[in-house]
Amino acid sequence: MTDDRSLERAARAFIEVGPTQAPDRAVQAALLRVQSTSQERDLRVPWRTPHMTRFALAGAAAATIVAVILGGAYLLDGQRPPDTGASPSPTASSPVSPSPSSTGIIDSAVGYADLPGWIVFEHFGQAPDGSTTGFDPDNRMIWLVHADGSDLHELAPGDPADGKSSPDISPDGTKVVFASWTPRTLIWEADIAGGPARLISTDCDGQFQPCGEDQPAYSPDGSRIAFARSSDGLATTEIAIRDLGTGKVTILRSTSVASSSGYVAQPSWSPDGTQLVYHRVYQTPSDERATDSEVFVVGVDDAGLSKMPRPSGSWAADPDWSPTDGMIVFSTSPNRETEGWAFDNGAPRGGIWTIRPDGSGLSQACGECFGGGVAPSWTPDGRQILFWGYRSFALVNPDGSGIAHINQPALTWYGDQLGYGYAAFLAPEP
Amino acid sequence: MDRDLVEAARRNDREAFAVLVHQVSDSLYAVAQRILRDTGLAEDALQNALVLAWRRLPKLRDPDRFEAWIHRILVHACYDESRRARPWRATVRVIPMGGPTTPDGADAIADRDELDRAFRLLPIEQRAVFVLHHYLGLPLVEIAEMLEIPAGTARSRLHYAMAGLRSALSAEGEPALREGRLA
Repeated sequence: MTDDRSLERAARAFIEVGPTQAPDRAVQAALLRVQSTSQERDLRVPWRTPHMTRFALAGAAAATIVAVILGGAYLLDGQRPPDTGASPSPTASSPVSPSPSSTGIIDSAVGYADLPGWIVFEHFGQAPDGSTTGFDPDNRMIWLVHADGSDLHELAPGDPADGKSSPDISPDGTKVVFASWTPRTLIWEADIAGGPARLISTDCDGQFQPCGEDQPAYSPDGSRIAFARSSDGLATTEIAIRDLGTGKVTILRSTSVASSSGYVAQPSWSPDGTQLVYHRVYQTPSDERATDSEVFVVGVDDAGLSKMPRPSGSWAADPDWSPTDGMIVFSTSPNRETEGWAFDNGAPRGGIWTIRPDGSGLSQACGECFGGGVAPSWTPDGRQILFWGYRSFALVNPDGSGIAHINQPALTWYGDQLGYGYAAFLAPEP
Repeated sequence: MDRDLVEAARRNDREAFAVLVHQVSDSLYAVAQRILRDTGLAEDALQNALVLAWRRLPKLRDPDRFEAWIHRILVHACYDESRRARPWRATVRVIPMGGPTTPDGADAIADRDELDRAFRLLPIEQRAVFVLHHYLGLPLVEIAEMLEIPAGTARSRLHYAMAGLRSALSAEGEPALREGRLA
């Protein structure tokens, strides 16, 4: 009878025998295929995750933020209808909406090309105007363009040098607040009309030691910003509010999450400024793998934390609170393989849903959403939802009608030539 | 592994990727061949793994983990090749060897043949753990991390691989064992 050691020795000797050099033809064939193969840019629409990953790899857990754009919807202009309470008006259509077809899908590829105002969007890689050609995934920028494709330009070019992400537009439509990208994550503000960026997070080092500030959102009156804060050496993440007049920061302790178990992200204000909606991502402590995501509502007085219902079996994230009728929009991911919002080389997933803040009225705006809808935000008039529908921006009415890309031929940046433009909001021209 | 090369390749630099490929392809091919026991399938697995690695490279979080990461891709490419070849594999039968004792050199070859046949009978997942452990010399914990499986699963796969080899050799009459060469 043989013993295990003998068998193991024999097996080890056996496994040593064999080729040790790869045939050149196989290597060359692979490299030839690589020449015509594009890299996947894993358009995970919380692009902010790498912030935290790096720090987590350095020994801390994460506190990043998922999601895309927030609430650009708090924009004001004369078109905003009066608040109508909690009841949505899903059948209302925007004055700029083309008529939907019988299927609810607008066929024209140049739908909504006459949309007024600015489209403000996040972008990485090369510059979308072709002014830089070297691909750099950490070259995160915020750009503005009109729906007809004109006046494409970068917000506060090169300022700060750390790059930009997570924009939100001031209620008067004149300013953009955003977070710097890396290595420091701080909140800044810049005028849409031009000029340098101004640092808002003056009492935070942005290195997560002791604090980092990310994903800012203006309050409806523009006097405060809510944001996702990482503190105590990344031990926790929480939602916080900064008074822009005094600089005072108020931390909503009820939202605190130990970074070993996940993080909170993407706050957005209720129209009356008394509540915030945000989402929480759950992670495994060992490898930071996301395991779930849910949407929560909390009072700005740190009371009344409540979890929002969601479609069965889905992850929920990317919440944005309508500036007019109180509805909350969010996106879903149907399975964990996508880790929420990954757009994996042609296999995007996700749907857009709306819900009342009391948890009632859960309704799907679109399921397929042009191959997966993410980063939803309300238009300034609160009547439509702007989202990123795999490769380019799109609009949909809350009832699912009127769905169309926004001037897709001109407003698509997706590839290794002009980089990748993803989450966007609509801002009126001041 | 040169971190700068990995970073450059992540940023769409094909020349940097080609340099990386030349650094890792021998190891990848050797592992693939030993898992699949077939040079043609191993070449296909290598090619597919390299192309997939190129596509997915921007998603690699930590450039310092490049080697482990690309070996994981290779192992999964081997799984795919194995599944693709399964209908053919199912027709392969183990023929008991038995017979008289042969001279030493021939014995060694006979032993290898027996082990080879026994090894081919193992599930592909067990073969992968066996090769990573006994050929690359990776600890089971590291294999578990590489393959994104629990450490206990890696341990049990290795255990069952050994048990499977023993069982298959027994079924063949254990000529080598009978002669005491392995004892």
